[in-house]
Amino acid sequence: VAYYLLRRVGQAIPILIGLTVCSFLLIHLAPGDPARIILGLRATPSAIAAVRAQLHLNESLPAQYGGFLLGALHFNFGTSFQYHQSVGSLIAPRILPSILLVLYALVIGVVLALPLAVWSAMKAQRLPDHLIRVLTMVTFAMPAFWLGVLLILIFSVRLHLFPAGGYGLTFGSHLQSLVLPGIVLGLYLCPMLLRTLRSSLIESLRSEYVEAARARGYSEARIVWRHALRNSLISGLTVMGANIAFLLSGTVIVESVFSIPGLGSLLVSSVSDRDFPVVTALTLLFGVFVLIVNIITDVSYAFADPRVRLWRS
Amino acid sequence: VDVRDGQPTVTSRSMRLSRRSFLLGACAVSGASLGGPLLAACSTTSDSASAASLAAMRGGTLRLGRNLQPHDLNPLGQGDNGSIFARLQIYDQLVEIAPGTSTPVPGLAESWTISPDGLTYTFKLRSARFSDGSPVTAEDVKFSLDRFANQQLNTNYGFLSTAMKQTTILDPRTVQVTLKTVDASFLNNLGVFVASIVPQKTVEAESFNAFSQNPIGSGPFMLKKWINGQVVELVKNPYYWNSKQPYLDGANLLYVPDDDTRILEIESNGLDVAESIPFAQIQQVRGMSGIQVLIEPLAAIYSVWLNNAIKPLNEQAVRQALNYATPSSAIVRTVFFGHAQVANSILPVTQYWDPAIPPYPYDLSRAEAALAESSTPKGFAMTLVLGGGDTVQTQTAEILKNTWGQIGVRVTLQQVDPSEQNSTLTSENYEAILLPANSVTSDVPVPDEMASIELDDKAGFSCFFTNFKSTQTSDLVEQASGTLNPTTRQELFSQLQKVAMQQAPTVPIAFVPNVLAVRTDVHGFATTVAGNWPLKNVWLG
Repeated sequence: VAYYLLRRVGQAIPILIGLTVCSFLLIHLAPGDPARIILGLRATPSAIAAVRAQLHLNESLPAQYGGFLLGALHFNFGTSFQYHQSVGSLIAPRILPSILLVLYALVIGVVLALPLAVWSAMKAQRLPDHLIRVLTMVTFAMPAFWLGVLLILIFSVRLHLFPAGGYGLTFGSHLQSLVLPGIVLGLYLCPMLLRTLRSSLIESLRSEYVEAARARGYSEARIVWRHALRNSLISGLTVMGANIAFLLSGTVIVESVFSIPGLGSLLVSSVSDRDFPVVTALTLLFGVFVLIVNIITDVSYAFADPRVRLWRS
Repeated sequence: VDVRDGQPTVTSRSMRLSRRSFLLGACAVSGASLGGPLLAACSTTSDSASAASLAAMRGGTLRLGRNLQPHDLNPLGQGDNGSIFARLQIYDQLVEIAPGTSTPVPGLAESWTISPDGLTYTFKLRSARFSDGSPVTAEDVKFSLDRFANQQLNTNYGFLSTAMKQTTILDPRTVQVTLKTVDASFLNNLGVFVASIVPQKTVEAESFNAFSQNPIGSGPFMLKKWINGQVVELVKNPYYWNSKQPYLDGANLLYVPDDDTRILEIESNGLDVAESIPFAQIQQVRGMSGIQVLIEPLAAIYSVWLNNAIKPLNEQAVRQALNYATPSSAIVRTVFFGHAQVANSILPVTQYWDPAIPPYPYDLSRAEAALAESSTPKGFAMTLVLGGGDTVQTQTAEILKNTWGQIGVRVTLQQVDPSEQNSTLTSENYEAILLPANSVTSDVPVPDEMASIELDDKAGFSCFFTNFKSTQTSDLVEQASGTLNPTTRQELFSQLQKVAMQQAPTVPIAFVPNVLAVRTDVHGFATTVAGNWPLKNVWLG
């Protein structure tokens, strides 16, 4: 196992370096001078020049990137241009809200998708299947910012069940504030999960071992939940793993709509502030997160399906 | 409606706009000759502000939703409104600018005298304490004013202190400031956040960031906790010199960047005040029960900024033609839903604004006639830069493209990322550019700041990056700022307004107000013409 993990981490390093190079170049090449954004319209050219020098913005791009890489190796991502505090201390408190939000979305997505997929597969090409398909298509197609506002209107303004936005100051209020944004993200994840699970379930239900189980007189419920579903889970896990990246990108919009102080909203404000160190560090963090999730997904295949061997014993 | 005391006593939500128009109309009749009281008469405050004198209730925490958040809380830090408005609750200045006035009132200085030559200001300090309990000393005041005057430290707002020569401590309660030249707006400049009084020992001992994270001021509130991206939690400063204030126990400045969410949050009672209500949503918010919309005067000017160095915009006739071809009242009606005022000045409305000077009428035949006098009588092509994703700018640009096109000016619209707009303007690499509606705002309620920035090319801003040059306007600016006599100032600023309109360095469109939503149980909430809100006057009940 250790060797396998080591190899995967080794493969990840060039990917991460490529990722930071791309994000570094993109944000540096975008027009808009960070020094001007920091100082505003009333600052004199000499003040602007002084700030540019202080932020090392006059150095060549490779030199600036080298500086970033050297710092990153020591887990030092520099100082935020806009907030004057270290990038690490700026990002650290933002991690928990985003992780909680993604977890919420995962739980809501899975809890909705699993029974619906089973029902859909059992009633394939009949009314419930069609209804579920149409319904999930609709939720999938709804833009997050629109769905978010709709949920706020119903659950906050009319029913007063959840806060309309914000994150609260206690852990309990964090959990409560994340319900609506979690639903928005979960509803986005659910259709993808549902469609994959449904089609692989239908395939499993047509397979010979299911026929055999039916011949033995097992109940349909036992066949589906204990035998067919387990076989179909692999495709579900793959989709889920791949979609964690989508969920992360979803947090960018959802966190802004619901005023959640997470990584996504920090990314939005840092990009528009041209806060280069924060943007590069966040991209790296998102990259690391996606890679870790991918490795976890691959490892979890082995647990979902004993036939999968990741390493030679 | 009683306009004389500046605090209307009879209001109804549906009447708000018409009352504002009426107030401006009333000012138009009486303002010019009065000069000083102009702003006072034009101000609208929270409906219940006038009731504050009856019996302010104590306690409670105000929840104020903003689309901005601070970058730092250091007085010499960044010059964005997200930071400035939060700092103003934490720090005191020697003088204060109250909502609805243009005359500074005592702050940390309980009184002052100005020498007849206008060069020596002597401040009597009140006995006050910082939020850590230590006394505010004359040394602290000198230290803070020296920082304000230091052009190396005060990089963003150094132009406010260029006249300062020296600050001396006369005795533990008296500080004297001498000026190199007369600066009529100096007292007002001392009320700006960069002139905040800070404790010398703490500031010298701590790094910029450490002090910003844990600021110590003598203002009505102090920082309890600042969670970046979420909230600035302020609590009452127990040592505040005015023992009656603040009425609130605390105030949470919540960062709610999304316009729709901010409105829905105040509707669902998650906020008491919501800043920056989009013009298109004023009507909708007015319909919500328990919420009123405040449309407060703001010293903001919404213009098309022209690069006067580029042909043919270097010709006055061309710039006048563009002004004649701009349907400002139609833009006010459709883009601002009537909640703005057609601009009759290149500068924002502050003290000495002259309502008698007419705006450019929308008149295509006069526009064509003006263009005919220029080197391009048949018109020309130009690019108008605007910020993407902002309906106010997009709609304005579409209207201008149409009407300017009718006199032969072929406009290409170029949308850029909002964070790119300022650099485009300051790099002077544009022909014409729009900025967000309330982004060009005066920091002081007198015209000196914006007049020197926009109309005096010697001030170092190339006339707000338009490359406009006029000895006539820069002489007028310097004369007006160089005299303390209000009558002379009024005359000079009126003349400046007239000359500047005629020379037309820009295409002024509208004076844009500050729009906020406030729950009806919030009392005493009002904004200054710089847009900020002194929360020490606010109470809940």
